[in-house]
Amino acid sequence: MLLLSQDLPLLITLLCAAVTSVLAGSLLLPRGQIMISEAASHAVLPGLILGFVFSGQHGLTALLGSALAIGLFVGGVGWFRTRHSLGAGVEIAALFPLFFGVGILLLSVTGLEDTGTIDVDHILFGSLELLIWFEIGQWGDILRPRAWTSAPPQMVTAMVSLAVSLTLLVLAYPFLNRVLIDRHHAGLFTPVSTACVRLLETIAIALAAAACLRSAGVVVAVALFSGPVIAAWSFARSLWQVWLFGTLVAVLGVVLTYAVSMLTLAVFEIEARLSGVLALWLVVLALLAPLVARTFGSNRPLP
Amino acid sequence: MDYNTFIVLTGLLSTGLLLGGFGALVSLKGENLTADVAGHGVVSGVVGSQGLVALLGAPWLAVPLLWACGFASSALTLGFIFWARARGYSVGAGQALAIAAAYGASLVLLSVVQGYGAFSTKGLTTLLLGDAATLTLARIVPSLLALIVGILVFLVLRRGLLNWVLDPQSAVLHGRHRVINLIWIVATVAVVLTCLPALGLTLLVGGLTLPALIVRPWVQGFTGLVIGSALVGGILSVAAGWLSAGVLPVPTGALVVVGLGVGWLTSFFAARALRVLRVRRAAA
Repeated sequence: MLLLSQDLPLLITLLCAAVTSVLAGSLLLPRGQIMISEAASHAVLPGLILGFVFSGQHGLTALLGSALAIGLFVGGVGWFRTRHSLGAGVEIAALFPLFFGVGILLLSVTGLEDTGTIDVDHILFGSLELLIWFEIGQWGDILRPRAWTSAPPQMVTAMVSLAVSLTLLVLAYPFLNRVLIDRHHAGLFTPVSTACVRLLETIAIALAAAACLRSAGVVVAVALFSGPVIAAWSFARSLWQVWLFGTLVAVLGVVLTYAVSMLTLAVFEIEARLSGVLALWLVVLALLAPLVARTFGSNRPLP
Repeated sequence: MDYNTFIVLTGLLSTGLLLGGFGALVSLKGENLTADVAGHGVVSGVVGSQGLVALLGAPWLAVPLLWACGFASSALTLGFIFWARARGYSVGAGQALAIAAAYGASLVLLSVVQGYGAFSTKGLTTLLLGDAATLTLARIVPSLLALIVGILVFLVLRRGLLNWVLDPQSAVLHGRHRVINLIWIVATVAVVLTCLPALGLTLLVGGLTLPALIVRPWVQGFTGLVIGSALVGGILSVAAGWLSAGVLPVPTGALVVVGLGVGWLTSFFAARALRVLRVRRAAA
């Protein structure tokens, strides 16, 4: 039985964060850069803290700070990639602990950790279980504008992230779809338009990382970015199909997570952490998808 | 210098030397992120071991179980990555799925173990972020031992390591790649487990990667890179630890990684500036 004031914000937040991550992950996986998602979700920390320090709240400024931090991180990764003679992925491994370390130092220097306004535990492991939307007692309350004024900020962040990300990527869809199929296609466009699309991608990654940071936590972000997209890869033949199948997998993952957590609570009286259960389900679904696809005659290469 | 500060600085020195030297090998192979994933694989084992200790009611088993479970879970995570690669998944996809599974298993195990009151979210946070300020002699002995073993292995197998890192096909031709891969898995897990208390998992990959990047523009040859990287890692870790103990009251692990990061950027831009100067001088 759903308790709307608790379960509804949780489901909306998780689904919006998951779909935003699917959109960003679909751009990273074909390029072999999916681990940027793991790194970016850590690298967002200094931007979030600085945004909070300047505005004093977890609002738009904090989101903007997160986006700027991710932009700097993704830009830095791209720049350093061609400028060192060490192995692949070294630039990611060098930059994300640096960003995260700066974030931890900022937390300590600003004193925010002691005040509890930014909790490292919540950043790392999520705070889904703490989401409560007091104004919602029954389904009809969703339509009351007043109820939205007290909506949990994490949920609003996830919804805004999804809306902005989806709008931007739909606008750039034709270009993105071609570039992901043929990497050299970007060479046919002007440097300005290529740079614009890179900027859009960076914004999409930043929004997804910010949505995850405020809901499922940094540590599970990589599961949301990669699991549904890897699963969708076995069925999809174009970018919009990756988004569609990825969203379906994410929804299935969230439903299964909810079912399992309610079952473990009822049977074993253990309240399993939702973000952990979700991560495991997404990995299972990603591994099962190629097997299911094969039974339907699909023979897509693994991502 | 008091005893506690001496122990913390010794721990940071051995951690920095170990991570720097091992990190040079890992960076040359481009396996930094795999090592990071293997490190995160340790967490579920550590959480599980705490639960087992509480379940068995045998606190004296805490350390052996921590090592056994941490080793097993990390080796399983690495095994998953290699299995995924063998099945045809890309390197990134295998790493992403492995790290997602490791995190998921850790959080679910944490929920179960918390029921016994044996472990808390704070404990998990300490694992991820490290706590160098609370290092004790017992906690730094493993890293000191690993450092001694590492130096001996490097002296004995230097040539073989060079071939394996820079020319993996030669190891395959010699039929030694399975043995060396196994050594690599064991070494990765051992280094991660021994360095965990000082830096924590999230920052540990910085300790593995950044010293090699600092040294790379200034040395030639494999031996120079490994030794230089180890020395830079050790010296900068101690410097950051000393600063954190007296001058800047901030988390030591984060200060070590940020210090290494500043060192990397300084080294990178200094090397570029030097190259530009040389070109200009040659042109003149």
